[in-house]
Amino acid sequence: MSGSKVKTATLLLCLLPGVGYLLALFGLPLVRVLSGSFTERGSEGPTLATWAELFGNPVYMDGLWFSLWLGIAPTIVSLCISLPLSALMQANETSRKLFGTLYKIPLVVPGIVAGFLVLVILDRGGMAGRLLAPLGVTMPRLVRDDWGAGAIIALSWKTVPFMTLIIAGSMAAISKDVLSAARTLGANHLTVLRRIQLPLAQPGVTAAVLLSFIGSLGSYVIPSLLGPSYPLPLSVHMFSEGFQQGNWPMVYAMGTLLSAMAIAVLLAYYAIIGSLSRNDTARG
Amino acid sequence: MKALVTASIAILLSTAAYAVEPTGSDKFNTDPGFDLGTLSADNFYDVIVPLAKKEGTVTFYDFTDSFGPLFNDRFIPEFEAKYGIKVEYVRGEDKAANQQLIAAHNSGAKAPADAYFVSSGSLPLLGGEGVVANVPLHKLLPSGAALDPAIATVTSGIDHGGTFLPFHRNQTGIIFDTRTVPADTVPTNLDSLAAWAKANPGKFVVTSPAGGGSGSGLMQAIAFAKVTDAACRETFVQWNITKTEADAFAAGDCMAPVWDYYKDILSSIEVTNGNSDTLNLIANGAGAIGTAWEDMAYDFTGRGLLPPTVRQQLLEEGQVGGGDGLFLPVNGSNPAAGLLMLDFLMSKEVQLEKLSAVGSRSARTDIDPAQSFTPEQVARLIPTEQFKERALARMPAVLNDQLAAYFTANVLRK
Repeated sequence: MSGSKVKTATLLLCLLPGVGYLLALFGLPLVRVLSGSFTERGSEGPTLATWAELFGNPVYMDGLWFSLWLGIAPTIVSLCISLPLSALMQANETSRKLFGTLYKIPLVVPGIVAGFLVLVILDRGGMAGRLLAPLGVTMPRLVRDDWGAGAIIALSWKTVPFMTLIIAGSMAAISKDVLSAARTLGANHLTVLRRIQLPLAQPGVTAAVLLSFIGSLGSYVIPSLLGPSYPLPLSVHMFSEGFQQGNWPMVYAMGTLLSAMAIAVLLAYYAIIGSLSRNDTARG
Repeated sequence: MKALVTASIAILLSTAAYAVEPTGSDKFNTDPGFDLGTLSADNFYDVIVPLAKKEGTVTFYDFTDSFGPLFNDRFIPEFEAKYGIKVEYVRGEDKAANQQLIAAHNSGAKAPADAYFVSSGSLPLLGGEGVVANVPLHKLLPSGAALDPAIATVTSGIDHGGTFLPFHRNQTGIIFDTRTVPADTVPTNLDSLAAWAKANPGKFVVTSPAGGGSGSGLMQAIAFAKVTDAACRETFVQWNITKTEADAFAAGDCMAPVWDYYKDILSSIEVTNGNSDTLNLIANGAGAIGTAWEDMAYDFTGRGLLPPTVRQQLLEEGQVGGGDGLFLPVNGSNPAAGLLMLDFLMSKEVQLEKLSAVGSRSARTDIDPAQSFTPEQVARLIPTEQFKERALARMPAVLNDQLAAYFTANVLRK
């Protein structure tokens, strides 16, 4: 065997653990899901019938938009909480310890427990409603409401710690000298956050947004417990199509569509962030 | 000794007075190793108990989650203590278990279990695949004599001749909390219920027909009451209806009165995603009347999850119920022990215990809750007279599923 062949073989062997893992556990299932979506229950051979049924059924299309809503809304809510929280944690040692302990509490609580907590507290006749009733205050409908408010609250409650963990880590990596220099040059806290901390922590913020969005988009338990009876997110439809109807081609098609929409939303997010960064740079 | 036992069994079999005959065929489709043709309810225990003890073990499959504690803590220990036969208890998702049984049958292997408890919806598939032993169990088992013959031989429109024992009977109904709706003012029919719902917005809690059986039960009850055309009503018992036919029926004129009923009250009712969700709103006091499974509400009240002031009823037009059953598989490893287990589970003691513990009704005609239960337990059930007069059989599952899908797409989707 020539030297170059040995080199190639060695290279392939070295790559095998990483690439093989990706191929076996990500590539193959993805191919299976994609190919499965082009089949139809009870018949052989490739067909577009399942996709036609998916796009032609308004119940599924409403489910898709509701899934996206349940992916985007908790991510925005969580970002609005996590960003200032992460910044506050950088302010001094006391705030770091205080907020650093508080935000981690929901981290250890499973999603289904969070769902039940919100149900018990915010449902009609729940704890909050009973506490406020003597004061003459009626709780707005939060569970089973058309906008999925209860589900968004529970998903945000679960997402904030993860997001804060990542963003705070990114902000902590920013040199204190840079922040001090900005302060010395007259920048206030808000300017430091907007012009220094956020741009430098951008990779961490992006990762946090990505992970939160994907997690919320595919959530099943919380929307099942707290969401409206209509529409149902695609994740809930996927379960019933698979385990109650045995319609696996539809499950594959829905899974593919959800993944494609997630990629589209993330590309849009990157485009917006990129555009904002360019504008910022141009303004100097 | 072995020869003596064999000879005794042979004598007993030869003297059988009213031996059972196979259903739907001139011969039995399973060979248990003893002569089914000479077995009868009279010689059942004399023949089967020694054989079952010799087998020594029985594998019992249960498709439910809810019955697990009852089997684990009560029925199985009781059976083992009574007969000294070890029970291997298997629980799991019935679609997978059905396919496993069919695959074993098709490959000529022994059935994975000796007695099966499955949903009635599985019967068409299992019967069609020939894995259900064609033994008229209601005639063969001594416990079968007390069963209502109609319920014991027909399930979901399928005349199986007694091969599928009605172990568990359930019923959908209406529950109400007497703290907010006194029993003498509670609506008793669909029209008064609609009027009450509109007068009390948010207080009538309805499970979505696509979300739980109590919701689809109400939908079927409305259909049985509001669809009066004879030709339309024939569809309700068309057990071989296809998905396409059911879709067309849901969208046709026949069902219009049903959808109109829902549209009339939709803005006044709370639609939930599941049976438990509905009961929780009643428990919170947020709802006053709701759709429910009788056994579930009975269980919830017994465990303090619903207030003791909750009562159950059936609407005057009637409400639907159904049930799940037991069968002996073809080619089981321990057929005698399997038969003995089925007989045990259909006995009055077990059926009464089941009703008392979880509110699961029985097809036995010799069980009257008023005679055996405390007044508190009786109050948790649908009144017996209403159950006798107003309980209706469910529609075909395919029709139900497509009606629920139509409801979601065209009524719930605002």
